[in-house]
Amino acid sequence: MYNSLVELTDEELIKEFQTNNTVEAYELLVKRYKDPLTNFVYRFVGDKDTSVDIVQDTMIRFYMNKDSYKSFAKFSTWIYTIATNLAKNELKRRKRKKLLSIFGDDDEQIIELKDNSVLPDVAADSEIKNKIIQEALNKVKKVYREVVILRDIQDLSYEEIAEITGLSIGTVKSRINRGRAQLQELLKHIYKE
Amino acid sequence: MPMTKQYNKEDEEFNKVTNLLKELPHITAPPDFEMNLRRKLNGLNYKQEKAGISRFSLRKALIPVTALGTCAIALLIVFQQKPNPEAENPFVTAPKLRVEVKNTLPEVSNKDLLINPRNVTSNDVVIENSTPSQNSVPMRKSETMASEVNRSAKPSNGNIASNNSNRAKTRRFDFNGYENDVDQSLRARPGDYSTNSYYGNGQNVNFGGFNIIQGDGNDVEQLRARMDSIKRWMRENR
Repeated sequence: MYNSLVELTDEELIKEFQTNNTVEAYELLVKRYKDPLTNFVYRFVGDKDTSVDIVQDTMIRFYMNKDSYKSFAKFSTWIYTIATNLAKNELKRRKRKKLLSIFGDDDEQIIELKDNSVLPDVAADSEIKNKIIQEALNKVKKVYREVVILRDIQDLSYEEIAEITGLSIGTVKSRINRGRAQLQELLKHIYKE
Repeated sequence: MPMTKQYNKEDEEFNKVTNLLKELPHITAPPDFEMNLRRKLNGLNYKQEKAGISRFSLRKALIPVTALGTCAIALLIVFQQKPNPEAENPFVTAPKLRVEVKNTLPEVSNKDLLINPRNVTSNDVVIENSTPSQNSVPMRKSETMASEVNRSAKPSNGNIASNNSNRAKTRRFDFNGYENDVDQSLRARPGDYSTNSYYGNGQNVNFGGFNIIQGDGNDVEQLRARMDSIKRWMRENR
């Protein structure tokens, strides 16, 4: 049973889960999407534990609302949409918390990185470099960050991104370019040499 | 196509950034991800079952039971109410008088309330009749003269002329020294609809009121002259 399911596509698996309530089909889909979703959400919210929680919530919602998936859509876009919405909610919650705090900073505001300790030779260290890139990503506007991650990190097509975000392809492309421009400005000292 | 070329050109422009992003290590889910997920789902199912049971017990069972109980109580209250024979309806029964009040009241019988024509004296009603009528009967003050008018003005065949001929009689009522000419006052106000209706002798009678007319003033003048003469005499003899 399990071996026969492995060969099925995402859409066939969710169909199996919807019609026969086959838990193995659900588990297979979780296995296929837990890592890409965790990576996407982590890059979006910038926190590992939170991203794991969000992906788990995404899987629970998928389990609970399996019937809301319509066969004309791709499963990947559907599950990414759920994860994106949950990640956005998390960011909104954080923003509210920051607004309540007296010393809270607006994470939407673009501030140039002023970490003088990060010198070009030090940046060579991949771990630090990754941290800087993540910090730069966190400083990019939310609407741009979302599409940049989906395109440049998750390698999704423009059409898929348009479907996930509910935007037109033109808007997606322009937002991606704006996000990239912001990132370029933020990370200029890394790829200077 | 030119749009695609433009975006491809922009992609090249941001090559360095995109390469940096692609080089980022892929974050994977922790190894206990599925186990935690299964635990959460089991907890969720348990909660749903519990909620389902509680919903069944509360909504599907408790509500009808409560409704039935309420109906039973209402029916009991309605049917257990016996009419109290001692309870009196103040709108139906006459008020009971206290013994001390009852003793002081004079006994009044229905007999006293009836008018006996034999008991009517000349002080009650004074009727001056130019032509004696067989129908004329002395009346009490309480029995208004309209009844008398009605009695005397019975038309033989509903003829107005005959009615008018009966009106030729002069009736004078003496009420505390005031005189009233009923016929005159009624004739003076023809078509006056402010007349009172009452039933006398089983017939509907319109009555235009007493229309009390004072004397012609000679009496007052005489009294005044007499008073003046007395005053004058007193002044002279003082």
